[in-house]
Amino acid sequence: MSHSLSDHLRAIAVLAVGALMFAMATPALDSLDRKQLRSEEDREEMRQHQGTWAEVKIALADFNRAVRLPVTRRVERFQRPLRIRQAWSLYTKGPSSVYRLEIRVDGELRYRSNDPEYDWLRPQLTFRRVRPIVKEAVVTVEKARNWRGLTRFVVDRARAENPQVRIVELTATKASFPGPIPEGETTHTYYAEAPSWKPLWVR
Amino acid sequence: MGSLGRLWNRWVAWCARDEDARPLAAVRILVPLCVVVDLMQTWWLDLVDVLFASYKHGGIAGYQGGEFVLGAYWGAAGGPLAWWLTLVSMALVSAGVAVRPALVVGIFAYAQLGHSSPDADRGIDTIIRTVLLLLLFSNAHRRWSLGNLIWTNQAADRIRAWPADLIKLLLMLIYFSAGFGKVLRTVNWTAWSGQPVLYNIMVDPMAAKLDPVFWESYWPLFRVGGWVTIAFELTPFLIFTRFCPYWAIPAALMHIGIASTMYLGMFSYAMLSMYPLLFAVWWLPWIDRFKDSRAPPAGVGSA
Repeated sequence: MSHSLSDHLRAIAVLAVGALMFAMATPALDSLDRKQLRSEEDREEMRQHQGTWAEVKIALADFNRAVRLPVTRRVERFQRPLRIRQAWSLYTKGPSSVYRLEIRVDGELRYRSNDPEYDWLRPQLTFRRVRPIVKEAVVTVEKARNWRGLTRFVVDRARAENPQVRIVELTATKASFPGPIPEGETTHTYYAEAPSWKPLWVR
Repeated sequence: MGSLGRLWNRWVAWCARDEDARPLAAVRILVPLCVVVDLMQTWWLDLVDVLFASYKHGGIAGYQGGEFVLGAYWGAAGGPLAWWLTLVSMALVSAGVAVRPALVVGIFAYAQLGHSSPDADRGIDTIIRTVLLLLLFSNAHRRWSLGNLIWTNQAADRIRAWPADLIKLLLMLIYFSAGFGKVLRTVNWTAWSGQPVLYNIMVDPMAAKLDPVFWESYWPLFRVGGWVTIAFELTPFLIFTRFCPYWAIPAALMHIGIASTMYLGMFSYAMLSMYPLLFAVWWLPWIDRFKDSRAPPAGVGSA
């Protein structure tokens, strides 16, 4: 059976796209960086701890450095604008502790994570696009990326509901599993007060 | 011809083959529909102006991607503009009207939404954009589309199969990476004792609806659930075999479980939107039988 030129070109293109998808998302290698198992000290330590498996891991790290990473770096410039980075280590492990966010408006508890009694702003704070921002602000004790914006968002909602509000606090708590309420130590608090309403942070 | 030549010819023939247009058309309808519902939910929760704007523009985002060109030109209006463009584009793609131009604009605008608030852009958004990119090069719009009615185009019964194959490859990589990553990073997924990882994930108050105290007495349930998860996440290559729909049953059940117990929004629904490809051998004959049973007997009404 003879194929046309367009058939061959299509086959080349599909092969290239499939191979690129595979190269970029190669399981386990997608989380390895250039420096992993590069130095002789690191390799020797791996050999001492993992025996035969060490050679496999060293070979994979070498392949990653010599072949996979140079290819994926070239494609990166096309992936970034479209945000289609192919690396899929989804839900590999859960949290090690029970974290919760508590929101108090003028000292009154209005929201607590997964507590049906205190569910003010629950639809917004558990919405899939906001939830990771909340989680990062709670789990990260210092330098959470979006804490100022998150604090101001909660303050704005509280003030829209009641303009007389004086202080809004977002408290992060941490407990060991299963973490019954009210167990859990306060790790840090974001807050804002009238009249400036500047978001502040305290440990 | 050598064996390499024969192998290449088989590959060329594989890439040139056609298949029923309906599974991919279903994916084209359902995946963008999930995005439309997700964006409408953002609007309903009154989050559009704050979620896709930087802190200095009154939003939540503490930083924005350097590629957020709509923000560079339109400032605070860049995020809402990306939201509108994505919404309209995805609605058009789902309806099957001007699909290719809508996909080009939609993929760009959807990525801009991600750049406007990187922490609000999740893995599922990346998956959807990749699928949309593959749909751009397919003929999925030639079946079950309003465009066919408006411009009286002939609907296609069969289209090239390779875009569907690449979406299946994507699914395979996603599931296998997830499974392999689980086994590689923690031994607890397959352990017979100790706190099950699935329990940690499914009772996390930051992401889940289940009460960690109540469900602590049901660890065996989570342990078995974890084993099942690992079993199907390590075997997604079955997608390319005749066992595909059987493999997809526990996977679909897992997504339904996630959707009902966790706050992951459209994640499960968007993943399930690609399952028409995996269950095609079951639902296509069912639809055909239904159509045949409603068709008038031969000779009646055909004059």
